[in-house]
Amino acid sequence: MQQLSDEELISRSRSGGAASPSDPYVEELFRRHQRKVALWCLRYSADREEALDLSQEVLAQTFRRLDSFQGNSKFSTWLYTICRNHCLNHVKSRATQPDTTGEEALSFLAAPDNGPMEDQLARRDQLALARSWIRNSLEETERRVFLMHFMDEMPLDAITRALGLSNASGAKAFIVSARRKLGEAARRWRLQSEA
Amino acid sequence: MRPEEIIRGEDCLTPADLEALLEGRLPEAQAHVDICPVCEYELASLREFLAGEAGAAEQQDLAWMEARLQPAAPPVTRRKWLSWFPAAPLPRFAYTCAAALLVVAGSLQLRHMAGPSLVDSHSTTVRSSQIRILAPAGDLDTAPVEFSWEAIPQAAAYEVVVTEVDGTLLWSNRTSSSKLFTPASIQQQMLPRKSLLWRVRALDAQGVVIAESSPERIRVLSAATR
Ligand SMILES: [Zn+2]
Repeated sequence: MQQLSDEELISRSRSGGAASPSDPYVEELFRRHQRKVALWCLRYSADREEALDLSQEVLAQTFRRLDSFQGNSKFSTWLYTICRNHCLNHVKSRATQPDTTGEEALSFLAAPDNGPMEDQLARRDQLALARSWIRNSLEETERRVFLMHFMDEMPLDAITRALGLSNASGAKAFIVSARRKLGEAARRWRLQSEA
Repeated sequence: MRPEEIIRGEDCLTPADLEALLEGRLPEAQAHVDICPVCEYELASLREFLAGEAGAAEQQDLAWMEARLQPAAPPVTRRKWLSWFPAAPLPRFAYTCAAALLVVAGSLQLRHMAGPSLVDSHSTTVRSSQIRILAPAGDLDTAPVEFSWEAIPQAAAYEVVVTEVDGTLLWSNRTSSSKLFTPASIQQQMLPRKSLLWRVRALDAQGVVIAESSPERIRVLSAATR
């Protein structure tokens, strides 16, 4: 059984109708991957007890959805998308209040300074601009923290833990510097395009 | 416009694309990753997930978790724990609870399945320790925002299980306090006029069940407000 790929395990588990959690193929499949899930959940939890609960939720959800696995990607990638979304929902539901400072910081990416010229920017130009500002202005960790906070809407304390940041103010320091740098990039771009 | 819509384009890569790139089957996708911070981030996340490499500080917690996420015991052993149901006829609700526990335990290599706690709680542990449920109980105007019970002195953690009456698991979670908040998503799943059962178990520091409540029936009369 250990020579079988994940996808072969799934198809064998289906051969006798709906898969059961005690199916040996299913057991082997989850045995292979539970460590990845556990580690990911640990990074998205305040402590190991919470992480254990989260892992079990992810595994249970994966099992419930196993029938819908289409094989568009490998099982491990599919498991990742389930795990990632579940952990994100978890840290968001745990957040005491929505952090809205992110929206403000991003607004200049959507319509920089609300100027008439920027209003006319085509969507794809806005996208290209946003990408280049983030890519060119921010350091690697700043980019990561920025996207976790603004795109995935993760609270800062959760980001600090997920990335294992050890500096004094954690993710907050990176967000502060990212906002400043993006603001500068937006200003530079405006000056250039007006010249 | 949501933040994600600002920085994610139609040309962004799917998880399957990212996987193919990682495995060298789609090298041309690298050009997009080089200009796109979103895909750079997604690729790094997927790579980290698949690698599953724990840092030194994570090793201990991970080992603790893995010990409790062990693959299920062989079928023979697992069938054995069904034996904690007495042969004598049980009230209907007892079967319901049994079904609920089966779902919890069986839903997937959950620690209950391999671990001795579930077996112990019914076969060997003296069941004189009962947890008294405080709320909710009976018919409710709206979905309960929290579950609460009387604390047990030796308890290190409590586990709440909410099921439909046929035993289908709706929600289960753990806490160290004597109440547990209901996530909004779960409140929404508590459909109007549908009876549910909930119960709580107390666990000691080793994860062994030391007390439990009787199942409590609840029914929400109107839909969740959000
Ligand atoms: Zn992209």
